[in-house]
Amino acid sequence: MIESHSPHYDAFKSILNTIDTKRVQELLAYMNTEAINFNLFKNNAFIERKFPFDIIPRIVPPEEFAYLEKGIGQRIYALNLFLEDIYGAQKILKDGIIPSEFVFSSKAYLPAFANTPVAKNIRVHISGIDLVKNSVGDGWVVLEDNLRVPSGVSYPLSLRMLTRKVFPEFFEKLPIQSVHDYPKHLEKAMEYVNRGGINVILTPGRYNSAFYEHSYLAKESGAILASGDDLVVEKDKLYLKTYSGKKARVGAVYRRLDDEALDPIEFNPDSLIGVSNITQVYRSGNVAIMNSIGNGIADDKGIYYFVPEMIRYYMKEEPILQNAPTYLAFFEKDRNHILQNMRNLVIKDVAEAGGYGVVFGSKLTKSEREKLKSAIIAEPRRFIAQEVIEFYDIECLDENGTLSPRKADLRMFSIYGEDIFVWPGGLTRFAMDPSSYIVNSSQGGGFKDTWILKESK
Amino acid sequence: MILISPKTAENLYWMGRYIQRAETMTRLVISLFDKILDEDFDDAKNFYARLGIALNYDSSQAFLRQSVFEVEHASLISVIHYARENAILTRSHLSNRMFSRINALYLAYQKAKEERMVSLFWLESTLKELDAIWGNLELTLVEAKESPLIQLGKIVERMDLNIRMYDSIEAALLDVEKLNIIAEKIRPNHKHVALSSSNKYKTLEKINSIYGTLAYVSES
Repeated sequence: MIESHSPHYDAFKSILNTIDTKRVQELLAYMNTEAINFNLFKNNAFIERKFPFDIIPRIVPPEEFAYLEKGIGQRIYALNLFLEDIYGAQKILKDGIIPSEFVFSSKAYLPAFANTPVAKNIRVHISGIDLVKNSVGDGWVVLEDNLRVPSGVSYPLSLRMLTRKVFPEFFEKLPIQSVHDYPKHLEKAMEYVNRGGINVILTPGRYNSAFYEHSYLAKESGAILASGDDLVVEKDKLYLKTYSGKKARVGAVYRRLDDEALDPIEFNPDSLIGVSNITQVYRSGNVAIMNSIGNGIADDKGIYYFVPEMIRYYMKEEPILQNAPTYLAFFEKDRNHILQNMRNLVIKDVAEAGGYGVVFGSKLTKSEREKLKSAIIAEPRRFIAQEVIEFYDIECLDENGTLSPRKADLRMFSIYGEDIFVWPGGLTRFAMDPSSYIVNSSQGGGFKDTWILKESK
Repeated sequence: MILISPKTAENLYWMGRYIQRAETMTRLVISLFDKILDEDFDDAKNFYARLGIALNYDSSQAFLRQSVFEVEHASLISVIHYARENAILTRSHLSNRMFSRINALYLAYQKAKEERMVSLFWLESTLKELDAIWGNLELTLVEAKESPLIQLGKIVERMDLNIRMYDSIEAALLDVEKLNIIAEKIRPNHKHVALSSSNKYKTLEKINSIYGTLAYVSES
């Protein structure tokens, strides 16, 4: 179902109707020349791929953004407190708000980092919260909190820069908020937590799907883009090697790789993209790692269930944003509900990400359902289930120039530095297949820009 | 302190080399094309054979297709591909315009390969594009920390190709003074490079080891 047309969207379309859509080709040419890629790995092969995009933006009116901004700010603040608590006094467990066993059984909880203080008590420096707009009740619902390495911000940013060049009409006539200062906010946040030295963006390398983004953010924020073997640890400090032979102290690292790959000494010894002993520097307080190590426990799909309770517990406030109705197989009552209502639920494997491990019960055969039921009974901690949300479609301009509805979500980015900055833009991802609910970029989904308006018209 | 890692520095250097290689090869293909038409039909076969590459064209157009798209690792498109790979890796150090020109050149070649479209006119426009890329380097990276590394790649490649392709140590020696000026920017007070015209292979070896005497080479 398409969201009923707002005056803003109607204004957009009336401008769209006056322009020659062949100019989309000009935009496409720009995107190609700039190599704005989101690469894929398929069958163990690297595929350099343009990130499919659509020129029709998601338009968010200012009052709606104000609501989202407040809700996301609240959520990030609470999740940060949760991480501080979990890797500290663990009051939330002691007070029985979240079952200890549920936390301790998560692979994402890293007890080796308990009582490791972080700069300025900030752990969730960069986050991407995935939301959808529910066609039932017309409200925003949070689907996921991405607090480890959320990617995607550079794509709408780049698209915005190019759209302004090709279609200035929209920006003349509509009160669209500027998004250009994201890299500046990132730089400020890096400076805020920096432990002395330069800022670095740590990339897994050219064959990572989001290498374009790493490169873009480094350039725009003034940080140095480095891969693991560009960095070295000496006497509990981290350094960037330079070609002159000198070494530059690194004070903050915005890492774009998972904990598991970060340090072969501490985590996976087979990691070739990490930095040996970087965790030791982190423990010594000599480098800020953004996002912090161990954040995975806060965006575990099972922990998501408890976020509203976290907000109540830490902030004594009611959550502004809603979760999707979720059942934890870990709880017997919920498990029974899942087993009995599987056809009506989306079942998610908490260990998976990027749209993988998401199963619609209605699409399973009887034997597949039985197999999944057995897996849930055997490993209840591994699964959650959610009510299917009939979220709104958004119109996309297809190759023939006609409008076609597609399921679309919204990833909103925020940066936690001196304050929490919720970026007045976002990555709207849409399903390429009109019948699909899966919008993830790693599953071949496309993207749109998100225009936040300054004032209602 | 110049904040460029050894690996990035190498990528900048090699980007310079590959862009220069693309330029030299484009000029070469144009001149061989002329020779095929005007002088000796097998001239290009003989020239490439000296480089250890076998061509088997039966028309001038086939020669263009082979030299531009088909010769493994030595076709013009593969050289531009390598220049682009290095540009991708060093993108955060390049001006947007320089990167997008290199990328656009590669994409144009890719498209031309798919459409099997190549002509002398096309190659001449490649030269213009390469001129524009060098121009970008001069205009937008003047005094920038990356510039000498790219320029070093350019001049080393030119010296190397003058010897390897045209057997002209003398032409290579003309660039020594310029080389030392660039080297000084990369490593102040470095020992000046001196080359003699006595032995082709020793001279080539010396030219190709210059980078390693100026910059730390990454271990990986």
